[in-house]
Amino acid sequence: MQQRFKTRLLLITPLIGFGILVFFLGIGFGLGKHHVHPSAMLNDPFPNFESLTLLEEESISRTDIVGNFRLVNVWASWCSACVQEHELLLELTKSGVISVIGINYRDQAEDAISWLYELGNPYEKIIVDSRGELCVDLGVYGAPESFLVDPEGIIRAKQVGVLTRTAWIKKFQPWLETHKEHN
Amino acid sequence: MLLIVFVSFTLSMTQSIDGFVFENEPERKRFDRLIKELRCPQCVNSNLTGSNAPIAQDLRRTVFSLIQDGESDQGIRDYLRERYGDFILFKPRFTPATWALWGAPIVLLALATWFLLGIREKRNAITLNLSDMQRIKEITGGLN
Repeated sequence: MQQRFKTRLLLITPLIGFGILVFFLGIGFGLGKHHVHPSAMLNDPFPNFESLTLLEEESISRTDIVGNFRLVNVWASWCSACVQEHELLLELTKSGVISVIGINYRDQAEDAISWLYELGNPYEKIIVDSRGELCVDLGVYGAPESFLVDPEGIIRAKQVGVLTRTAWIKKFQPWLETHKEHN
Repeated sequence: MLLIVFVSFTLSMTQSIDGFVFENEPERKRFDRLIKELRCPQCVNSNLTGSNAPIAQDLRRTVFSLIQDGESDQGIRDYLRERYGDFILFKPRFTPATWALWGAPIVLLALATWFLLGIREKRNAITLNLSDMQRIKEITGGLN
């Protein structure tokens, strides 16, 4: 009896193995675009940087952006997806919800400026990052990407890809509200 | 004279992709090894060596400048992992989240050994049965 049970177990072992394989492949294929780790850099201080602003060509560093809640948005004129979040950024600035700081990522200044002329400028200041150095320090995958930086200069929320209205409401806005309650 | 200058120049400087100039050969080898084991965050299963994505170019330059700054291999890995997560490492760390990954080969090996031993045991059992039959035949004088 025990022998028969053992034989059966041996026979179904490959099947169990196959089942495990299917299980892990299922997870693997199911991952899709979620291989992007949205949690990296969260609760870390915004990195130090020294750069110039795009329009005024003035020097800008980390101290210029801390002290207030900021939405730091990585964009470029070559980035087609950036257009999709542009309306939301303009709206946030115009309604005075938050000050938006741009990081112009791997772009040509002329292209970037004409892009802003065409679509409107939601940014209070734009940091030029033509070699992507600040972006590597921020763990940026590509444009667009957005960070919520609190008054102490800590990154509190992050969106990889287009900043949708849902993402703003779910991940970014709650931080502004809790801050208001405390003050 | 010019030849000597040229030869000594090529001996002391070695170049890599993206036109990075290294002070010595071991440094270039370190660079090549590191960009091979780091994954391009924006690509599907490509390392930093094999990708021309802007992010891969930026990260190669980052690795290069960290080497120039005298950062250790582990320091460079940690720097990028802090920013891009575990995904950037082709060789994952041993953490509670990855123990299954590291343990799987051992478990599979144990299972396979058990499976093979099981088959052998069964074969032995059959051989024994046959020899038993032989003995039965001898004892009974082939009557059976």
